[in-house]
Amino acid sequence: MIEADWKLGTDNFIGDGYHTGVTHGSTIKVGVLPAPHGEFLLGGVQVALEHFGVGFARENELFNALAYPPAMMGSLRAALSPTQVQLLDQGVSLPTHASLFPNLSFLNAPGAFSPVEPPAPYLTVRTWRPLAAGQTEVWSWFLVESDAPQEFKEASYRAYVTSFGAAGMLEQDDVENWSTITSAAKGAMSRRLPLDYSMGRTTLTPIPDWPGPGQAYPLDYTDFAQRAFWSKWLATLEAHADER
Amino acid sequence: MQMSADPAAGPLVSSLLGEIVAFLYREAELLDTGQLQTWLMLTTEDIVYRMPIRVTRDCATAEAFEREFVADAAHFEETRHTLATRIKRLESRNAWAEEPPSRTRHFVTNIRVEPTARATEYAVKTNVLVYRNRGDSPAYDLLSAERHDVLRRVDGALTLARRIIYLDQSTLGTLNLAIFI
Repeated sequence: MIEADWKLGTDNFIGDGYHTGVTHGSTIKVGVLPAPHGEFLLGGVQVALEHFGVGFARENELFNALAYPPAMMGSLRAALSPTQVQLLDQGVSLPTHASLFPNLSFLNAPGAFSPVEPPAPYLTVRTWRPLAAGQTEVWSWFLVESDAPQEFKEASYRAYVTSFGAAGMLEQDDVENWSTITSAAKGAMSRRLPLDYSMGRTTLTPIPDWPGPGQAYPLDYTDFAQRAFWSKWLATLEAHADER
Repeated sequence: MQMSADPAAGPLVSSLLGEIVAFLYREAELLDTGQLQTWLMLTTEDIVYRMPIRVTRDCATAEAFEREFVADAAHFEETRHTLATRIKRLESRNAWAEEPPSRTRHFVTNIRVEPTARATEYAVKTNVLVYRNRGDSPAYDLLSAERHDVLRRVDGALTLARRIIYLDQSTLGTLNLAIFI
């Protein structure tokens, strides 16, 4: 249970790549997030659709193939379309973070859990279940490929529990920030000042030959996906305004 | 209660129980006063520290009680390394979830001690009520649980070798598990 609206969960997973260095600085310091610094999504790709947004890392050892055992990469490639395989071969990672409107989110990221074993990727799917204004229950699932070796399943599970879920060292700090955002947003200054969601709006143009749906941008440090989410939310509210 | 045939067994049992109680109270004090590194030193290198996820099932039988705890999914699935990492993080000054830190109070009761197959290990069940408050809010969380511990005697002193925490709720009634139970 978190003291924030469901929308902050969707917003954080659809974009917000730039929060990592500050929000999760402690996990980088102690090595749970196995990155030299928090800016590993900076050079990625962000894709915005009306209902969906997703971020990819690019040319990044941390995310490329995400340390999946080679046998799994084989079955993974077999399950993907040739275009998707081509993107992987061009150094675009598997999708890293995503949200589907309104409240379903995904994360595929590496986590360290052992002094002797390498970090393992984990995949979490979660819904942000609104209970009331300012109160959300999180349903978080950990998923692992059924054809994965048993050791990989165990490693991936441990990486997830260390990083996400109620005891997850990354999730704890996300939720703390969402709670304090919620409480700070009630203040007099917060009510007067518009929130700046303009990152990339006038400086980035879509990648012209992106093979997937949606508009893709050559940076993941941008607010296109978040703006699309909030626009969709506003349009949905307005479309149903007379039903209240 | 049956008196032991061996007159020496009575005081011995009583003193062992006293030693275990003192260990549990000391450990709770360390957790409640932020002495986490010292607490970690009371754990063994091969410690298992788990909090299985609990779900709601029908029918109040012992089997149903067991089935409420998911075998392969847990809130905590810790090793000595991950416990040490968690503590290091809490001391990093960037662990926002515990900056400022929670005020906790561990109330440890109903201590039940049984021997195990190993002469140096004791199976210890306790009931715990953990109070948690933070910042300027008067609100607090209460976590009630049964802990199943294994205490191991190493070089004459008791250490914590295993702790399984069985929470008395399926939806977690606290913001996160940035504290130890």
